[in-house]
Amino acid sequence: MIPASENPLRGGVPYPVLLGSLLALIVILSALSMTTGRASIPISALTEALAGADTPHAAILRELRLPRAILAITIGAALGLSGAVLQGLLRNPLAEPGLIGVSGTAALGAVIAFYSGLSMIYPFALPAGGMIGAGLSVALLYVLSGRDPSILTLILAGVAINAMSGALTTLALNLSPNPYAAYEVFFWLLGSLSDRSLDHVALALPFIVAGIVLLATTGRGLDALTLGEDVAQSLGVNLRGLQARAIIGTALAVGASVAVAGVIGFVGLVVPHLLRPAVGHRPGRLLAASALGGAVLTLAADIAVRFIVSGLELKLGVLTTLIGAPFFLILVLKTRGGGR
Amino acid sequence: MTVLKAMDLSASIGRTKILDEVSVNFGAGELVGLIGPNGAGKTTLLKCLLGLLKPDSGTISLDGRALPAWSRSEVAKRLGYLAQGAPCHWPMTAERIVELGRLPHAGSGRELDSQTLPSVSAALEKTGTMHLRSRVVTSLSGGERTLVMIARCLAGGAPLLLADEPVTGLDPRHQIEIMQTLRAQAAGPGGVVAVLHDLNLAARFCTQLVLMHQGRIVSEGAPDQVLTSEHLANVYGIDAALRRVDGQMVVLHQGSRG
Repeated sequence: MIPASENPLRGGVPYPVLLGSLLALIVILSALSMTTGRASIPISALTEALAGADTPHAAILRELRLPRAILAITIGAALGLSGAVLQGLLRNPLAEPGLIGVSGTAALGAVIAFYSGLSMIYPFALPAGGMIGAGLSVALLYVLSGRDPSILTLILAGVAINAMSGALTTLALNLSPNPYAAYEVFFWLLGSLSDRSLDHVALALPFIVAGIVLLATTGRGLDALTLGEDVAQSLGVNLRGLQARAIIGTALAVGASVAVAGVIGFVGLVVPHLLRPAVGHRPGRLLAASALGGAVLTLAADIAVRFIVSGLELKLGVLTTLIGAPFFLILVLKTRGGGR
Repeated sequence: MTVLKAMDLSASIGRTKILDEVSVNFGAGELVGLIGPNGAGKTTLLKCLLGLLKPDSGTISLDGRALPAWSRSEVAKRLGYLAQGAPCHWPMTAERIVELGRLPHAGSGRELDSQTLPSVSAALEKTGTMHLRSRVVTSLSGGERTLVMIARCLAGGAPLLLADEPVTGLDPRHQIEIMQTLRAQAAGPGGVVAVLHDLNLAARFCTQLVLMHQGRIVSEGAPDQVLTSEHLANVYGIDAALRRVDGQMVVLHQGSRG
């Protein structure tokens, strides 16, 4: 008998190697993110900036580049992780934070904050509205899915919430008395990390981190869910608790992310899909990998938007959607073909 | 020795009453065949016994203590569950799937416990699936997949195994292999309850049979007591003759009753 640990066909890259490489990529891309852009800045300026020096380089780093890199890492991790958790929970590789309506209602919440004029008086009402919207979608999801914990109910409830929030958001844009306001909302919805301050970071970070911590506890339950809901419960998994942690964690992490960055789509779809073979398709191990992978992809995309069109910065959400939508289509075709 | 008892169990799905005051007693040393027509309430009974469905009334006790008083992971250490169709949603290797059987034993913060490797190897040996351990479960045949899922149950070490239609839709060789594996498990310190539709397999391998019809237990006891022409006519609506061939009871289905 060959000991299991020596089995070469086990599938997947050694786990520490995978996580280590992704972490190294994050470090490299963070440095790149802070040094490149309209103004090229040496990485040595970072120590000046942290020391509070008053040089122009230090100011750009502190006011623009640092918040941007921090947001790219945390929002990317939130999106990648929540995608992996939702796919494990729904046992569907096509699931995405957008699917259960969290991104849509977060956007709606922010749009309402904007039209009510609150965001004129308090600038942070816009992100706060986003987080309230995400929280409401979770509450609504619970009401709609009732006591029936089946996957189909959850997906249908998510589709209904998404349709509703999409309709209300376009209604708000439609009724806008001021075309300039509609224009501004439209651009915010596209999703971007440029011109965010450390204040944005301070507002979003605690919620994103809390969400990530909650989502990170779902690994073992998601492993068990591979065998279906009944068997998972027979293995000791509290299904309701698992769903609650997955959904509330997603609402916190994604709601706060959408609030400060708009809708950055498809990161939660693409990243888990690419990393799944590397972890032998194990849902639990996919979590940490997808969080790091999401940060890598978002950092890379956020650097790319600065260079793709000269003289004009592309919106991050536009780029991720351009990459993600065809990817989604291919995945749908593959799933329909019976291949998993 | 684990004992699972139900007293006057009634359960419904929606407004339809599925179980009507059912009492059973399952323990070690027996391979109990749960038989009856489709819709008799066999699966519902298993799900109630596992705590997956809440009964309307009646009590279930596990080792003398009410089932709801146990924590989920303590129940999981005592009752193994083989679901109908052996579902598996991600293309993981058989070895990884069998490892999942150890989940009830994993301490907090750790993926798996120290007994995982030996338990998984022993379970793969017992079910004759060692050669499949690196294969992706979703690409296995129905019979192989069921054997891997039985290995997953055995790796968890639960003394009582509840199996929902473990041999339905499988070829005769796999049916016999699976029944032999379950029988061996029941001959050891454990017990097995299996939902079966093949009356000949039930007669040959089970030590006890429980015959259900319309949410009630019609008959229970040794196979030759339960499998009578009269019972089969009343419950299944079939004319059947029962013969002994080489000391082995055989059910000859002769036709349905209009």
